[in-house]
Amino acid sequence: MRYSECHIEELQHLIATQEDQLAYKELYNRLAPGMIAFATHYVHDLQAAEEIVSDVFIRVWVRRATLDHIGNLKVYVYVSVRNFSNNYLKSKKTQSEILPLSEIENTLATPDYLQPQQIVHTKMMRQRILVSINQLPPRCGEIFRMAKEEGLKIAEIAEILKISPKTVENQLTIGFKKMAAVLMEFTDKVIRLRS
Amino acid sequence: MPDNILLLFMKFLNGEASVSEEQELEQFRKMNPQLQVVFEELAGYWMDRKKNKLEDSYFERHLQRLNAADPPLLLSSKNIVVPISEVKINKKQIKVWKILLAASVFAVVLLLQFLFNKEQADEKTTSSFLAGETENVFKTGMGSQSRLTLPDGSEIWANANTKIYYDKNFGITNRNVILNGEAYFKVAKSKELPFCIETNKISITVTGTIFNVRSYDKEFKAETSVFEGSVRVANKGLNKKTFVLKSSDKLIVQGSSSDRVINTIEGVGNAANGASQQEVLSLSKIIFDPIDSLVVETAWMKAKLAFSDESFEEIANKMENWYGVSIVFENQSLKKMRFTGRFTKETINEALDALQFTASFQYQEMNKLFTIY
Repeated sequence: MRYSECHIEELQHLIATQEDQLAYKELYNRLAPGMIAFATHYVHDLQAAEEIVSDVFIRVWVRRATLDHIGNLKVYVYVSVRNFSNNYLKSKKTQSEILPLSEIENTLATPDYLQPQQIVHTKMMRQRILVSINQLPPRCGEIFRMAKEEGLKIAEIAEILKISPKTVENQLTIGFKKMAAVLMEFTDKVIRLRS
Repeated sequence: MPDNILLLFMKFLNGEASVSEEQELEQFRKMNPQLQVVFEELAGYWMDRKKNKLEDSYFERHLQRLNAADPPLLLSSKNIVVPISEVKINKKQIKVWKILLAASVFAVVLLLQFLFNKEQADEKTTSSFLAGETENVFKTGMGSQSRLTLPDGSEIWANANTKIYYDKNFGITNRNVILNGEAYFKVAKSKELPFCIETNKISITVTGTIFNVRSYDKEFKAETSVFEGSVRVANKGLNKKTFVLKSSDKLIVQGSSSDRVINTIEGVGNAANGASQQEVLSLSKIIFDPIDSLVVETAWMKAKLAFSDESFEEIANKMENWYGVSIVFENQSLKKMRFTGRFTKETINEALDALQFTASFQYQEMNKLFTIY
């Protein structure tokens, strides 16, 4: 059995029933990148974000015996990150000022599975999309990122951020429209170049 | 492009569009073929998730924090994969520690008592076979597999829904394990201490070999398939024979367990002496498929559900473990239908649909309970 091929529910079950440390490591490696980005969105400090995510995972290990009772672990850890981040901000009493998405992007590695040419193409396109997504209000940009990069469902995002699914849908539509506009511009160019 | 279509498309890409929403989207796409390229590009970009990988140092730092937490939350010593740093306890913490320790000892005693009572109820063979007082239990859940390295260096790969018991003196005074389920054994060589496996149907003794055993308590059949070396198998049923199996041999003991006897008694009255006649011992060879070099007996280890000329009843048992569902037959004659097949990523519905191609039966699903009729 390869841990990398397990669903989150399977990892959750292995940790709960067998205290499986490899499963725990896999869970961390799979969820932590998105969670750190999410925490950075609140606390604007990569190191603090890493510590917050670490605290959430400590909680996961402490409560491993009851882990099977958690219906949606992904939502659970994201809600925990949100709460821990708020606590952190309260304790620091700093004013919340939201980090631009581009900075989060840069702190995380670029994919290594693309061909060089593809990278140039997608990098340019990504850059353009990022620029336009960055012009969105930060909350909207973060919702877009959660849906796209973390594959979170509308209902899950609503639960994590404690807002209505309708609001999530509206925000996502705005983001998707921006993305579509950039892509259309690009495809137009490609079509024109070909003809 | 209209907003609502964009949202629908995004829902579709994230796998959360309803059937009617998908239809609406499909209709729009048919009416606007010129937008096809845009849809494709959108899908390509959306699905191209950044596979963010953290450097290993992140998890290591996390472990340090985990280990430094108060009280220390050391990852257990069982199957250690991560370095556990030593934690220094200062004097202030000791008082708290003592209370915690006392509390946890009490909790462990309660837990052991609970577990012991629970296990005693369903495992009578355990206490007599295992000499030590405390035993270790290794379990896998429905639809999951796991690997275990025993103190003597032997490796066990357990299939879904399997329980393996071994006592605390394992590797010192004995190498006895009790198995209820299916497992692949890679036994470390030791002439002095034979490795013994007890199931409710067979006893196996080896010194150092590789083999697969499938013997779920609830099934009527026990299978032993040898890949390397030799294995001694004793039947615990009515026909108490002992066999020595060599590489690529496979022994099937069918219908000898006590469950079977109970079954016949429960059945029609004239089956009173039917138990002994129903017991079948058969020796065959491991089934090796040259096309994809897959051995049916160990297909489960490669995340494959495979069966070769097996009855629907046997396949249903495998499927129950594989998919973590329950399968019941409303029409008993269907149990005898035979299939050969192989599934990898298929869902249970896809697998059953595939079987329906070659045989006529229907099935109904309700809350993970599949009724075949």
